[in-house]
Amino acid sequence: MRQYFIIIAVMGLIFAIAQLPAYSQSPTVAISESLDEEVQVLKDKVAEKVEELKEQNKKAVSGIVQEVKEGTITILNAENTKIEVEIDETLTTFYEIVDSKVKASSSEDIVKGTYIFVTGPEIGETVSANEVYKDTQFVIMSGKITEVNEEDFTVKIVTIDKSNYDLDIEKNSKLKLLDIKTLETDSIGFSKLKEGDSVHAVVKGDLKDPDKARFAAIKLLIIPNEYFLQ
Amino acid sequence: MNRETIIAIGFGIGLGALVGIVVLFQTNKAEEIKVIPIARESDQKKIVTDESATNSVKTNLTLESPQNGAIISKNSIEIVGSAQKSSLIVVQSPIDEIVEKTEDEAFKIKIPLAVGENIIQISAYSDSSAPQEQTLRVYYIPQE
Repeated sequence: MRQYFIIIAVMGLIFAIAQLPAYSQSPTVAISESLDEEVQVLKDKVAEKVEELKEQNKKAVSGIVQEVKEGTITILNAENTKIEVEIDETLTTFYEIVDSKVKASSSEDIVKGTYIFVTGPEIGETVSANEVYKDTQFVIMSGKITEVNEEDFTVKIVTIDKSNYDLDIEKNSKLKLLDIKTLETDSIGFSKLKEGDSVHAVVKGDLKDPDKARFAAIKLLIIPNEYFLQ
Repeated sequence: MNRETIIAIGFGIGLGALVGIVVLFQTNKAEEIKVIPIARESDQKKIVTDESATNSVKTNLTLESPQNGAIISKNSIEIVGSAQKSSLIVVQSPIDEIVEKTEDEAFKIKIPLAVGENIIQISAYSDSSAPQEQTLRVYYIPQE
């Protein structure tokens, strides 16, 4: 009888030891597979982030040139932040926007007071310029008409931030009025401008005097005050 | 080999198999407890926090795309955003202006682009004649 117990114990031990590596291998494989999946997910996330950063880097910054030094251009953007633009003589290319066309230009065309936009990787407030484009600066402002002067064809407007501007209405200024029923815009003449109406104006920026408060209007879109009284 | 010896060997193999199954079951159970629920719980907590944060800072005019400073290779772009229901949305750029009244909160307005810098002002008039505004600069550079 004793020898049968010994046989059972020995066979049980042998079988258990023989199959344990096989059983214990499956959790290891499962853990390993789980780890592989997590690593793959992480890899995908990193790749996605890199693509996202690449897309984010496909951005441009613009501003008025404040200073031109060898290898560096300093610009002042619309938020009054100075940005350093690093120029690489061999890599940076220069263009100019003329009549809706991109024309080749040179670094010599970039002088103090020029309006430019720059493409290239941006780190902090420094841009390593791939391309520099000389362009025209436009400004958009909106507010309310406070005065219409029929003698010199100007309108005074006050913006939301309480800034006052004088806008000269010239022959080539495009004036449009919103039809409050159809919400279509129609071209109008100076005589239709009236105090109290809301206005959205497009003007050309003055690069020599950025703080200027008088501009020639390129476009005006008028929203009659009656729209807000409906 | 007599019959009792064969039975003893059979019992031995059965006992070994039982030990193996118990070990396997315990290992799988431990793995389930350790790995899966912790990750899911933390993910769910994060989502709830993000949603509550978004709701608390929601403003009337929100723009989803394009991003300020984006470089575009097409001659038009869609302004995607949201504003209060029935807001009058005015999109003004140097080459075009578009006025639309929102039916829902979300809006999608297509606007043409000029070559070079395009300054675009988006204004939302909702309750008064004082609009909420955002200004974007996007850059249209045609591909050669």
